[in-house]
Amino acid sequence: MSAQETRPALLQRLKDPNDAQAWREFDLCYRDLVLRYCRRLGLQEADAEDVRQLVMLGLTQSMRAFAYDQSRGRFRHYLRRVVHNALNRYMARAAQGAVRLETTLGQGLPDLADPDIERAWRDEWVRHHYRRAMEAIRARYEPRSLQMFDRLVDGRTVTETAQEFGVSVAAVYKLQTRIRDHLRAQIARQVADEDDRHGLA
Amino acid sequence: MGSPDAADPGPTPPSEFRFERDELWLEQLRDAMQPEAPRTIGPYQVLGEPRRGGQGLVYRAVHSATRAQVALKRLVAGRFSTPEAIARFQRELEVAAELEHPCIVQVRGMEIVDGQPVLVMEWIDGEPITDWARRPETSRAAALLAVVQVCDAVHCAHRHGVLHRDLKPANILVDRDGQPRVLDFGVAKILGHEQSKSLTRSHEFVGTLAYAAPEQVRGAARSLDARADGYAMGVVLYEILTGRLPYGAVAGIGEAMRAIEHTRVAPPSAHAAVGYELDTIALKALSVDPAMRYQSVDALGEDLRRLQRGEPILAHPPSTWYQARKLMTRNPVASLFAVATCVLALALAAVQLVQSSRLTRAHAREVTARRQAEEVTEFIRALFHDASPMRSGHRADVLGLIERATERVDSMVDAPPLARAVMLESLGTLVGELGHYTESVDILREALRLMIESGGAAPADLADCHVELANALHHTNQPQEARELLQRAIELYSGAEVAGSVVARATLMLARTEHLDAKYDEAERLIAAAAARLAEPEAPSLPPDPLATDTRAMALRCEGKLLLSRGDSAGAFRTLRRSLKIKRDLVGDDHPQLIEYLIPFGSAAMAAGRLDIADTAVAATRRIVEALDGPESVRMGKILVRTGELRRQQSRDAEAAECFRQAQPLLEPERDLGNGWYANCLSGLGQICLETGRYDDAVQHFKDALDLAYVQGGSRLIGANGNLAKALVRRARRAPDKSTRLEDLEQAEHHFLESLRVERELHGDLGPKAHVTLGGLADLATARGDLDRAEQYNRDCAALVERRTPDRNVIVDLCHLSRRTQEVAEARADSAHADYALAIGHARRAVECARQIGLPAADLDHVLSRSVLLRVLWTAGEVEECAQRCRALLEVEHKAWSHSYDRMIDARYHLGMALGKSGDLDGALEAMRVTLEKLATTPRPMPGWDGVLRQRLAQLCTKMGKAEDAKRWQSAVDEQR
Repeated sequence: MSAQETRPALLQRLKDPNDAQAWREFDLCYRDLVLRYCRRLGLQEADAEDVRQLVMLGLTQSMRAFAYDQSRGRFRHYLRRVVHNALNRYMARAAQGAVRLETTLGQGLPDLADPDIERAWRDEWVRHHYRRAMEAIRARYEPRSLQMFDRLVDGRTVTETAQEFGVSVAAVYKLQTRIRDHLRAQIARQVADEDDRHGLA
Repeated sequence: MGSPDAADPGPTPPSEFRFERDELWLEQLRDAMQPEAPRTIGPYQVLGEPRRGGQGLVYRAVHSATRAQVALKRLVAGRFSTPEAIARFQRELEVAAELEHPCIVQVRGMEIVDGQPVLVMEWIDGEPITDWARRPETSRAAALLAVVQVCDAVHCAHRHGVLHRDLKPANILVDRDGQPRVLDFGVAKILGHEQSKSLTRSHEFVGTLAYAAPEQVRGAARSLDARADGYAMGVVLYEILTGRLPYGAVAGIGEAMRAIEHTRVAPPSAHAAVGYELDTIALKALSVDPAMRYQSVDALGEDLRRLQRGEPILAHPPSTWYQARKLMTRNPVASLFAVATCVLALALAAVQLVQSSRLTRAHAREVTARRQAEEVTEFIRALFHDASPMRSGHRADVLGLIERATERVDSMVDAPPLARAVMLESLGTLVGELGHYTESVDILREALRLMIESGGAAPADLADCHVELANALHHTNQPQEARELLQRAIELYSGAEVAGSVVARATLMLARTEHLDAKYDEAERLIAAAAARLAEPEAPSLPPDPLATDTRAMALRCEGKLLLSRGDSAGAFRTLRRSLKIKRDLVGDDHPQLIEYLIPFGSAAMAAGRLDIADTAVAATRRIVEALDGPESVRMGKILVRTGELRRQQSRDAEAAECFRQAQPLLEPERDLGNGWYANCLSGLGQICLETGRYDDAVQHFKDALDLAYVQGGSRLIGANGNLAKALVRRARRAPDKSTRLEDLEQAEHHFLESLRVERELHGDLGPKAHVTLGGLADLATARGDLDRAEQYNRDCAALVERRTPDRNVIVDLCHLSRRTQEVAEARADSAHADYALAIGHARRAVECARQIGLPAADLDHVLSRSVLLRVLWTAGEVEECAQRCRALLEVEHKAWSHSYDRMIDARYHLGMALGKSGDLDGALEAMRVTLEKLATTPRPMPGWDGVLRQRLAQLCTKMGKAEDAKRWQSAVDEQR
């Protein structure tokens, strides 16, 4: 898959706000993370989408101004900051607008100062990478292998799975190890791409 | 394939991914793959992912009770829509909902769902018409038929008075039966309405823009008509025929405008196998001038129909040749005679035209001029006729008048374009002077377009119009376009005979743009060029130049601002004072134009430490602005920010914070414009928080300010990153635990380096702020305990500071340097370390510097340097000199108290300490007691000092054997704890 190989180039390309293709790719890749995080903070569907828009806007602005430098290797923190800024901005607007429309947003406002929120972001970020990695490596396995693996993910034991599919326990272990190594390498690459180190002298 | 072999464990992901044990990573994966709870929007259940378009989101959803499938479209403003806006949407929708045509997808209405207005529409399972046309199974004829059907539908809507305004493939879906369906009739107007207010405005993604008619791109939304929809259909047709867009992919309004103005659309036949007729039809539909297009969408559809029937198309009516050729193919013999006659007639007409133009050019010019004059007179008469309170019943305000005037000009389609252009230019300039720059940009763009289109404008007039538009663009933070326009204007002037001040003014405006972009050398060059132009004697043919003096004032202002940016505050102060004086002599004390002079003058006064003068300047500005716009305006917000910054320097924190807080809502409309005022407001609040120890708030304010700095980019990022980093370091020092501290320090380092990097990028090498950043990095290294590195940073910083000519800033920088070096020395816990000597050296140089530039003894910065010196002397154990200097410093106390009370408290305290150490316990006791008394009267609270002083007093009393007094002081300390 070339999508992974071009990732560092993608972040570079974002510095050009006119590279619409890069922005679309980026949006596609991180949209789910941002939306899920927002929903997890208790935002409604539509509000989460608004915040996502603000995040993209914030990113275009900061990327254009080459404010993010990959040499610092903390894209995760950077993105969180952009998301939180977007949330703050959105909530500030909501606080003003709520009076007019009697919205329900006021009730479930996330408290961004809550220390749990950092954990929530980290969790979502971890999940995001697992999902992306799983999607990336899926194509390399037989449907039957994937079915077996799905059982393991569902919490079945290796022995149960081996019995159900009529294969040896060793074979299931082998599959599990193979997928684990694949996932691990894939995630390592994804994170490294995200935090690609170059730029500042 | 970039994947490593599965057997190779390869690189390891960070520790958040728990691959060390099977149950852990499996658990994490399970967690990640868990399906989310079904998502709902009010009573609707969302199906799949929403469709995201330039104008918002469309969800496919099903009503939980009725199971009806619908498309839900969110309005961009969402929950921020006002009741008035919603009422307006509903009115628009009522009309759109009545449209009935098999190819029009009905808008069912609007519902308020979860507090947000949502458009409910029929869900269409189809694909964009261009995608469908590209399928191999779709024939050219079928595709053209579909376009014809769409034209019918659009025309049907037009007859009902509904414009689409956003026709594009994404809004024309072809369903499974090959039937085209047009979405979103009447919706664009609603979305357009609110989009003009929403954030996405400055941030259009490619797509919609390519289908917008030139007049739409230029922002003449007022005058849109059916021909704009016709243009969009032309683009769709072009795309279907060729697979590409007429102007290629354009990003942003500016690029689209340039494309429209400077490129001719290639006929479709240049890209695909397309006949002459389709070329003609497509190009006519895509004419830049609406008057040259099909005048209705129906006419476009009709021509496509004719083409399919093999009849002559109606496009290109003047081409007799074409009509004849078409006729010939059908009836070759009969039409031969007709063709010959036509060609002859055409040739004769052409010759006549050329001759008459040669003979009567002078006369024609006179006629045109007279006609234009008549137009203008008639226009003004009609305008004031309408606006008369005798007729309209109320007094017209200036803005209302201008708005009406602009509408009138727009409606004068028969007037010569040049006359309309001149009128619009004056109106646009006026609107800008009233502070409505966004509107001004729209009007001036139209003026410029008309002027160019008319082809008759004199180069100097054309250049003037460029300059006015550039000015408006400057105020709406569109420097790139402004720069191009100004460069063009200067070019145009060079060919015309105009007064030197006119060229100089354009040059100075260009300098302003370069200055904002931190291109100081280029700005300096331009200012010099403008000054030279002003100094030249005028050509004898020109009348004396009334604007020469005014432009001279402007040149000085630009120069002063540049000096200020380069850190020469004294020079800036002098230059700006001169510019202000010239301008004042010219226009008087209360003229609005003074604002532009007073503001930088106030800043320079502040930077030069002349706070009293700054105070007067700010007050004068405030008076003018209040008289001009009333107490609540964007301009007032800016003045409040300035006042806040001044109050902060005067240590009047509470007033400063109040100013910033009042300014925030006033500046809100320009918040996202990136002109820096809102960011300055946030930075001001951040500084106050920093000084009063509210580090979390400070960090937050600076983060927000940094966010805004991204909007503008460039040199603002240097300071914004630096401020945030500084605040993070300060917070880190108070961090409750090590990991938080390290996290803060790491972030701080990132922002410091970022600041340095931007500075390098802008200035090539270490620029005017680099020593501040290096100092910050030294602080950071000290906080981390990396003392060698801190020492290195301090040395680098010292090298930069010492290179500069002594001024106030150098004093302050030396003081900081001394403090930092001292901190490193203290951290080394080695009293003999050479760093102490260095720290003392820096402080001595600061004092020396203050004397050298002649600062009075009670001056803010002079006091600072002396107090820093006595502190470092004390720490280094030079008790005697310390005590001596304390006494000397306290001599100016009554003069310096108001601005340097903290230094004075400090000096008293150190005097007490020094006396105590040298054995004069009575003297020490007295000094401490007076310090404690003084402390109660400081304008800004100095937390912590009270306890320290009482503690010292208790110790002194114990030493002196006054046990009871010692107990009394001690119990006060304990009580406080």
